[in-house]
Amino acid sequence: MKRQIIFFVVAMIGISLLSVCGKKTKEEIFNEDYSVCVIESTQQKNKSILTFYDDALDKVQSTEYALGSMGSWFYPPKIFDNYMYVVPQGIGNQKEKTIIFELNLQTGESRQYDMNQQAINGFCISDKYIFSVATWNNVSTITRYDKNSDKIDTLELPEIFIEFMENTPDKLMAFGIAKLESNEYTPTSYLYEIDIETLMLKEEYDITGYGISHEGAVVEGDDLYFTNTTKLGNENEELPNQTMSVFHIESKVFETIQLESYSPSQLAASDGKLFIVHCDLVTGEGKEISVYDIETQETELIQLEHNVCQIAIKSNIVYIIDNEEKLYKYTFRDDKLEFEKQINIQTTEGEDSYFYVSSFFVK
Amino acid sequence: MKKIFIRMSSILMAVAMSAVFSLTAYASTEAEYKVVSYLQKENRKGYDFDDEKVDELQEDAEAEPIRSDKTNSSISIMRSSSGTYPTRSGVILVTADKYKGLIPTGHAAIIWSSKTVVESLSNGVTTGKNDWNTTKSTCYGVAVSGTTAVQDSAAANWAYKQIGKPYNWNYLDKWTRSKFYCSQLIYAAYKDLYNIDLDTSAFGSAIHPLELVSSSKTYTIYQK
Repeated sequence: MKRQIIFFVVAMIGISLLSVCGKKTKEEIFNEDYSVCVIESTQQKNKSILTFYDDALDKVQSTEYALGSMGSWFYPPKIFDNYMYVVPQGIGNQKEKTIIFELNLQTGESRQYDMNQQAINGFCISDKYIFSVATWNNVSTITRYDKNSDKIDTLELPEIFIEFMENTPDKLMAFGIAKLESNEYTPTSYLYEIDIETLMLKEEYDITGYGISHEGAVVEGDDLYFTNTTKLGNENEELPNQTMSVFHIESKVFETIQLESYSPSQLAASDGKLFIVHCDLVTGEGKEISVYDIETQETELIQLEHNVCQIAIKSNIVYIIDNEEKLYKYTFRDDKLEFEKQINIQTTEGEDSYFYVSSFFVK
Repeated sequence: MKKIFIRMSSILMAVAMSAVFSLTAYASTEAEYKVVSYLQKENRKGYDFDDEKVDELQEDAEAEPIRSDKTNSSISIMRSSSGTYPTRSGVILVTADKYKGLIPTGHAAIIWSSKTVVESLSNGVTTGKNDWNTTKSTCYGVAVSGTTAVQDSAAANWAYKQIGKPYNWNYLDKWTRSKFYCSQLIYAAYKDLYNIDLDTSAFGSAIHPLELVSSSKTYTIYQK
């Protein structure tokens, strides 16, 4: 009897260990020798494919995750402290996912932070917190997740639609649009300054005069740069705009910088310069990038042969995806972009669902 | 014999427990989805849109001619040439894509701002990005006949303002205003504001998203 019991226990442990060890984990085979990763996703089921490429844009590996609607040109992945963060919303007509997905760029280990809100359409990361925002039933809710304690706190902003957020070490800056019946539905645009620790609203700035919608922002020192993608027309319609603004956070002064092309959307900063993408993110059309020198305040307009939907910069290498499933690699030198290589990044032929290239990130 | 029996029972029990453990580890994500789907189906009060009829509607939608959109004025970012993906507030977006859950064949939304749509999901009325031309394999942009662009924008705001309204699982009840499903939300906006009935007779009092395309009160301005 004793022998049988021992045999039973050993058999159970052995079979359990075999089933666990037999589970092939993505982290076990992750190859960290890559430079750029493209995300392909679908809204029809929970599945996304991450394909990793090296410096030569040769494919290194690909991984799959059971998460749908992962990433977007509108809210591309963010890199913070050697981690990539991205929003997967889930199935397109449910948006049931409530998480922000984190990927360790070195090890491939992943983690999901449950923000407890569906249909997240904006997020940002600080060393201590993860922030997300979603608008339900005319109320925008900003959620703050403490990475150390896993505690969640929220701030509600009624009757405002928060487009996206950016953060400094101690402030959360949120961009919002309102269309109130009392104002005959005239769109108005706001910048909200929120204390990152207390999650209290500190200041509200009406920035309608600078632009109605804003699709990109970066913080450089004490300055928040943001694009003014559209402006208000005479009949309250949205018209393409041609400016970028800078908010000096401590002095609370706004300045506007004229650009040489329309529909400024994404902003990326590198080595004292701001790269401004000129692209209508709805149609994916726009073939220009402005390069703004922060010190000299001079702007160069670079015209390319293809659309520019999202860019990412690593040292002086500029990666771009267009709306035709291509990835481009350029070297930025003497205020010019020198073409290096382009590849086709569609890998989902044969899949039974409709996949699309949602976004990409660099290591 | 007894010893063999006990030994075999022990082995079988160990295998069964390991299988359960492994399946749970592998299938946790799928299980979460399947539980949600089961609950939604139970709440649907027994109404399903007939697949054959939906396919017919899609054929009708694909056959609709593409017409020019209405504009606010002669000067507008909203290009009025036929077949351009819409960004005008108040334009209705419909997809025939098959999703799991909710209305299984299709979805509808209304453009609120150039970059943002309003849609009804299982947790209520929310916003999304106006990126249906990229993220969906089928997409129709539809405008309502007999309204101005300003009126369409007001309809989008009406939809946006449905505060605290849950999802309407009873697809046959298009008259309730205490809860909405996706196509019913858009139907309600135009019915309540302008007494324009966007429903057709395809599914009785239920409104499938594709009915918003085939309705005699709308016309197609974009198709993917």
